[in-house]
Amino acid sequence: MSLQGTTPIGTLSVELESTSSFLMGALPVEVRDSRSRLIRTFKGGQLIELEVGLYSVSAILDDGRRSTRVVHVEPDARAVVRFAPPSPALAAYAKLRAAAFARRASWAELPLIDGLLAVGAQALVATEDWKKVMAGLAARLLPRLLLPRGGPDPAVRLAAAIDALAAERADNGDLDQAIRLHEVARRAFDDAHADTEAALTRAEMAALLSTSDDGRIRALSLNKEALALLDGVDAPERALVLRERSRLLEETKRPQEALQLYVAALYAFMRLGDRRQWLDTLNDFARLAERVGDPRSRVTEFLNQKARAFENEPLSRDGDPRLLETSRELRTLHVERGCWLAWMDRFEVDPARNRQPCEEVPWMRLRTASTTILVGVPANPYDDYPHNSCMVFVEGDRVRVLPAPERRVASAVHGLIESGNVVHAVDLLESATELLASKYQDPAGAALGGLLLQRLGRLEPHAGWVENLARDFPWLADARILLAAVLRNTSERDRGLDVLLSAARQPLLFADALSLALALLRRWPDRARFAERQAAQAALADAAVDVDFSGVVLTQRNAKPAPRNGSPSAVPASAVPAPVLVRRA
Amino acid sequence: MPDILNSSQQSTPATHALVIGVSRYHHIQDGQAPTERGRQFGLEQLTSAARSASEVASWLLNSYRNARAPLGSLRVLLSPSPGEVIASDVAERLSSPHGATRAAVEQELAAFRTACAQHVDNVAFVYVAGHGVQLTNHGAILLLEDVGSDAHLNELGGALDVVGCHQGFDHPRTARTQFWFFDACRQVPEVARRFANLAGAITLDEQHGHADSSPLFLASSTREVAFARVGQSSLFCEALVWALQRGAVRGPGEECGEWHVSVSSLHEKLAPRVRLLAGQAGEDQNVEITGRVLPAIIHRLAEPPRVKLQVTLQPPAAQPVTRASLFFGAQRLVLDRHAAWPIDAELEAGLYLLDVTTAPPYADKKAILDLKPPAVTEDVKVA
Repeated sequence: MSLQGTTPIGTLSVELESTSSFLMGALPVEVRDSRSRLIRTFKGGQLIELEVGLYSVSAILDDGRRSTRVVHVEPDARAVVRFAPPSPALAAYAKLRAAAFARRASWAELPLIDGLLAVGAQALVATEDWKKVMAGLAARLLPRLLLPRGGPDPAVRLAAAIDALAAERADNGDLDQAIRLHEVARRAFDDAHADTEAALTRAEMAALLSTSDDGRIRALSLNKEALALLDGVDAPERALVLRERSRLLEETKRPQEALQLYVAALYAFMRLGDRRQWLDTLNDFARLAERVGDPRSRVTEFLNQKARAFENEPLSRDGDPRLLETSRELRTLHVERGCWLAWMDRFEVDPARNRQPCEEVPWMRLRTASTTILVGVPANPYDDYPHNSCMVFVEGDRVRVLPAPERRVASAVHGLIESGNVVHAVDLLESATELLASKYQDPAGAALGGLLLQRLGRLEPHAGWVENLARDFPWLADARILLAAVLRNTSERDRGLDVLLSAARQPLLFADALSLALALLRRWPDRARFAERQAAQAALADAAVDVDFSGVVLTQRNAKPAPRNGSPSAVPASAVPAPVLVRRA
Repeated sequence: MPDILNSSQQSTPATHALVIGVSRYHHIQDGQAPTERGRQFGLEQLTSAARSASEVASWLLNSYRNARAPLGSLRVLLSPSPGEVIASDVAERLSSPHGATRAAVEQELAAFRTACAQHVDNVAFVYVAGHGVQLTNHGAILLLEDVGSDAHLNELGGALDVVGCHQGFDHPRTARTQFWFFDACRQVPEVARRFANLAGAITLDEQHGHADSSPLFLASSTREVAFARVGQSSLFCEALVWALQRGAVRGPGEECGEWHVSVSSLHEKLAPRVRLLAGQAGEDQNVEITGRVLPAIIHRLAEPPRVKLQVTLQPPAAQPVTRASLFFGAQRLVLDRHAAWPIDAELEAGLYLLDVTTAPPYADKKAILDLKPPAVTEDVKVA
C-alpha cells in the first residue's frame, strides 16, 4: 500500500530471523512514530512505506523477550531493522551440545554436528600439520558431518560443494571454540587413531600456548623436543616424562620451553584422569608462569577451570554422581558437571495397539548441595532427536529444565513464561500452543502453553484441543488437570471432577499444574464428592510444601526414592542404557 | 466512613477502589493482645503495609485519570503500626475507626461489590497489603488485623482470601474491567502446611461467566518475601506508583488514543522494577501476574509526559568547536546549534534526532534519542 500526499515517503524493512518458520511469521512487531503513537502492528517481517521520520520498532523474539530498535526512515531510502534470535541462549546451548558430543564414544555414533559445534579451524591452522589433521577428520566424518554452509559460527564452514573444510575469519580468537574442537577431536581419535593423537595434541597445545592476551591466536611452533616426546612415548609415561623434562628445563633456565612442556604434561594427566599428578603439575606450571611473568593468562584461566572440574571428581565419561535415578523411558547424557541432555526415544503411535510411550511423566531424581530433588522432564517422545530433548541443569540447590532450543515453539512458550512478556504476546501463545498440540505433536509443550493460557483466563476457547490432549496422552496428567479446569463451569462438571480426581493421583510435569489442581480441588463449584476432594487436596498439599513454585517444571525437594524407586518405571541412573541419538532428517 | 470520597450512588460509569493495608496485628506474638492461636503464626508487626496502602490511595485521589470512569469511590481500611506514617491527604479524610478487621473488611467488601455492580462499564481497583499466606501459585490470602482472635471459629477467620474474592468478581454482571494488587509476604512451608485445608477466610461465591479483564498482580513469587524499606513503603508499592506515574507510560495506540498505562505495559515494567529495587538491597523478589489478563487501560495521562535530557560531550576539549541541533521526529527543530555543554533540557517524550557538528580533528555525529520518562542521559563521543 502506498501513502498518498506530498509528504516524503521512505521504506522500512523489518526482518525477523528465526529457524522456525512458524515463529518467523508469528512474532508480533510494533512500529511507533516519534510521538510514541502506535502506527502499525504486524506479525513476522514486512516491508512497509512510511512518512519520513524517526520510528521505534519492537518485537517479541524467539526467547520471549522484547527487543526495541530506533530507526530513521529517510526519503526514497530503505531503513532496515533486523531482529536476530537471542544469541546468548544459543551460545550456551552450543557449548552444552559440543561438550555432549565430545563425550561420545566414537565418531561412528555421532549423528550430527552443526555449525554451533564449532570447528576450531584457527587452532588447527596454527599447527604445521593442520591440513593433514583436517583431511583425516573430513575423510572419516563426512558421511555424518553436517556443517551448514555459512552457519552461525563465524569460525568455519563446510564448503559443501567440495566437501572440504574452509576457515573463515581465522583470527576470531575464540579459545573456547578451539578447546571444544580439540576435545571432540581428541575423543574421536582415542580409540582408532592413536597415531593421529600426537598431531591433535600438538594442535591443542599450540592453541593454548599461542593464545596471547589480546585474544588472538598466533602461530607458534612447538618445541621440537616436546613433539618428539609426544610422538614416542605411551600415555602414562609420556605425562611423567614431560613433567620431569619441564622441571629439568626450568632448572636449566629455559623457562619458556618448560612452560610449554608443563602444559603438555597437564594435558596428558588430564586425559589419564590422574588428579594428583595433574594438580602437582599445575602448581609447578603456575609457579613458573608467575615467576617469569608469563602473559598467557587465558591459558592459566583455562587450566584453572579444568582444575576446578578436578576438585571433586575425576573427569569421566560415565556421568555425574548427582543423577540418582530416572524414569525408565528417559535417556540421559551427561554433558558436564551438573548438566545433562535428557530425552525419550521416538515412540511410534499405533492406534491399533493403543500403546503409550510411558505410564507417567518422565522425571529425574538428582542430588544437589543439600537435598535431593525430583524434577519433571518435558521430553517429547513423538519426535526425533533433538526435538525430543531437554537440558537439565543443577544450579546450587535448584534444578532448571529447558526444552532444547531446536524445539523452537516450545522454547518460545517457555521463554514467554520466564521473561514475563506473555501479556504482549497472548496471540502468539495461543497459536503456538495450538500448534504444539496438533501439528507439532509436542504434548508437554502444549500442556505448558495451556497452563499459561488458563492462568491468563484464555483457555476456555481452546476446549477442543484440551480435550484431545487429555484423551490422547493419558500419561500426561497435566493435560487432564487442564481439562478439569475447562469442564468445571460447564454442564459436564461431574466428568470434570472425575478427571480431576484421577489426575490428582498421578505425578505432574509442571508446577502450575499442581497449583491449578490444588485450586480446583479447593474451590470446586459444588460439594460433590467432598470427602474425596478433601483427601486428594490434603495429599497434594502435603507434597506441595516441598515444591518450588517459582520454577516452570515441577521440582520437589527432599525427594525420597520410596514413592517411585522400585516401581516398574524407575531405574537407577547407572542402569540407563547408552544413549542412541537419532539424526533428524 | 472508609469511603473517603463520601460518594453517593452513581448512574454513570466510575472507578471504585478498595484499598486495605494491615501493619498492626493485635493477636500475634508482639501484638497488644496476643493469643496462642496468634502466636502460632510466628509473625511480627509490620511497619509499611498501611503506609503503602495509603500511598496507593493517595495516588488514586490525586493522580488517577480515566475520563470514561473517573474515580467514584475510594474505600480505605488501614491498620497502621504505632508511628507509621500515613499519606497526609488520606489521613485527613479518614474517620475513625478505620482498621482492617474482619468485620470492617466484610462490610466494605460488600459495599464495594454493590458499587461495582452498578454499571458494567465501571472499573474496579483493589490493592491489599499486609502479611500473606500462599500455598501455591493460585492462592493469595491476606491476614487481617484481628487474625488469631479466639472469637473466630477458624484459624483463618481473620483473613481475606484475595484469590477467592477475585474469582467471585470474575463475572460479567459487575465492573468488567478490574485491577487487583496483592502486596504481601509469603509464608514459610511449615506454616503453609497447616493451611492445606484452610477455611474461614473471607471469600465470595463464584459465578458463571467472566469479566473482560481482571489481572491480579502478586508482589512476590511463592515462598518469597515481599520486602519493604524500614519506615517507608513496600518495594512493590514504590514500584507500582512509579510505574503508574511514569515508568509504564505508553504512547497512544490501538487500545487508547492517549498516553496511558496498560495491563501489558504495567506488567512489563513493574516486575523488573521490583526485582531491581530488591536487588539493590541484595534480595530477590519476583512479581507474578495471574487472573484474567486481557488488554485494558489502567490509567490515562492528560498530556505527553516530560523527560529531562542531559547530553554530555566527549572529549571535553571538543566543546569549543562543537554544536548540537535537536530535531523532534527528525523534522521539527527544538534546539538550534546549541553551544553550551552539557545540554540540559526538559522535553516532550518521543524520538529525537541529535545532530552534532564539529571541526577536525573531531568527527560529526548523529544519534537517535528515545526520550522516555523520567530522564535520559546521552554521552556523545566525537573523538
